[in-house]
Amino acid sequence: MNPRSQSEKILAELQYDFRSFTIEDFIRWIGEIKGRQIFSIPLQMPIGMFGAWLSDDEEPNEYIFYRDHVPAMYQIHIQLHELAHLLLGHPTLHINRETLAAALDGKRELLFNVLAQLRSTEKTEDEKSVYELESETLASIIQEQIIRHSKLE
Amino acid sequence: MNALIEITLCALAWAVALIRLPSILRSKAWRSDRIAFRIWIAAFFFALTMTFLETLIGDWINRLSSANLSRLLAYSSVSMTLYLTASSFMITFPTPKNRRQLPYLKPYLLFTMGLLVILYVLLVSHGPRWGEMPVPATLGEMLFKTTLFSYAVVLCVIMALACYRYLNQEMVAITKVRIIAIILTATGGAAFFFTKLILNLGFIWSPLSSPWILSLSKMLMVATAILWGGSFLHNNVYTRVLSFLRGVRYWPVYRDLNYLVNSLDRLCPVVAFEEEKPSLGKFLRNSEYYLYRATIRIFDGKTFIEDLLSREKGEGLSFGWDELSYQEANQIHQVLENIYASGDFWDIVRGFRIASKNLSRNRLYSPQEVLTWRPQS
Repeated sequence: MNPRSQSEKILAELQYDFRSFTIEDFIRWIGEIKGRQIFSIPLQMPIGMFGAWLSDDEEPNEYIFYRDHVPAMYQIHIQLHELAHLLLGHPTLHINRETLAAALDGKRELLFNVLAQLRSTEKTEDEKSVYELESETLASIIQEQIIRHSKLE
Repeated sequence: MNALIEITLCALAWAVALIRLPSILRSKAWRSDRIAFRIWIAAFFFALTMTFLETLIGDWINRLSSANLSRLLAYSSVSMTLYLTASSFMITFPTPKNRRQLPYLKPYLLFTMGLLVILYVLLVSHGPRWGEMPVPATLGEMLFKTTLFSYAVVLCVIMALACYRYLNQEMVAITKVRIIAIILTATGGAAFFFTKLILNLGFIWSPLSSPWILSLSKMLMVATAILWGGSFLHNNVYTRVLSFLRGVRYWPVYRDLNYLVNSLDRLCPVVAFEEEKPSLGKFLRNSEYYLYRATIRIFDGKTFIEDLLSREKGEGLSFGWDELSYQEANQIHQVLENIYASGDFWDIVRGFRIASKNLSRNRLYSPQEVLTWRPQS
């Protein structure tokens, strides 16, 4: 199945009404469907890193990190991209609450470099590259729906 | 009219009425949705009209009863169709003027039907069988047709005006396009019946039955039939047409953004995946998607350049930029810094489009380009 058809299938299954989209509401909706609590956290990111998704080892929580100090629309896109990884069932790294608290306090760094290695690849046919293509397509199709609805209403 | 066309049109009219019958019965529309029920009754009367106009059925009715009775039945049915459709629009689009005019529709229908019955009893039922001629053969036929055609012209104009008055109040784009389709159908119908009226008056003054009016009348009939068919199309078809039209409008915007996107592609690494540029056909099908992708690519590049320029100059150079790339990145950074990127999607697209145009006007040339440049003759 091509990424567009796959994304459209996932969106149809979500049954979300994009006419009243807000990122907070969408995150809550996905959280309810997945039975996980999703936390979205703005953060300063290293060069070339825009967002990240980490899964909680101990609690039913998911953490989405996105770049702060970028325009709102771009922040929404980054969050949608990370949510798309979750919706598509891609692999990610796991952390626990203790590590997260330490990282947010600036006492230790999050494993962004390891995560970047998990995702990035030079080869377009590589599995990792497919994950990125799928997530980026899904995030863009979600925004396409929102833009289209705003034009149709 | 050729028998095959008559039967096809009749079958189509019945198909439209019968396809909707199960949902009308299921939802008990006569109680729950009176407008939908009214529209269905109008479709039913239209199917009856087409049946009575079918030559074999018409002749059979006339043989069993009296001369030209099928015409009285057909004209009465089409009058009902027009009344039910026009009144439905006036109720659905309740502008002050539509509300004021609605009470006059029923008396006007009764007057027209009464006049048709009187003309039939006094003249048409005693006359010869009507042939399929554009100009009436008898005075009775002329008066009978003039009564119906003038009623049809007035009702079609009323329908078009009722929709037109409401058009600006409608906020949903698809419904707006549907209303425009109804206005065009009603206007086409009014023009068609007007040409029929003129041809009919050719009985009194022969120049009115000239061949070009007859050709125009046939063209208007075909156009109105197509528009009428179009008004029954599913919302998805309207959505696709709208999307295609928007694509045509957005294509120049996308082309303008491409300069900036290409520059960033040269300077910045791929984020997530390498995108192929869509062909015009692909773009028209999903124009919002490709515009959005271009916008995100610009955000990716803008952020990357900002990151690099905020650090030591050496880091940019070590990333693979030469002096010219470094200058170009600086130029892009300066132009994009002045762009307001916090509005809604369309504000951002507008801003990036201006930036892209400005950059393409002031682009930096590589030493190679400068050396190989020759004046154009």
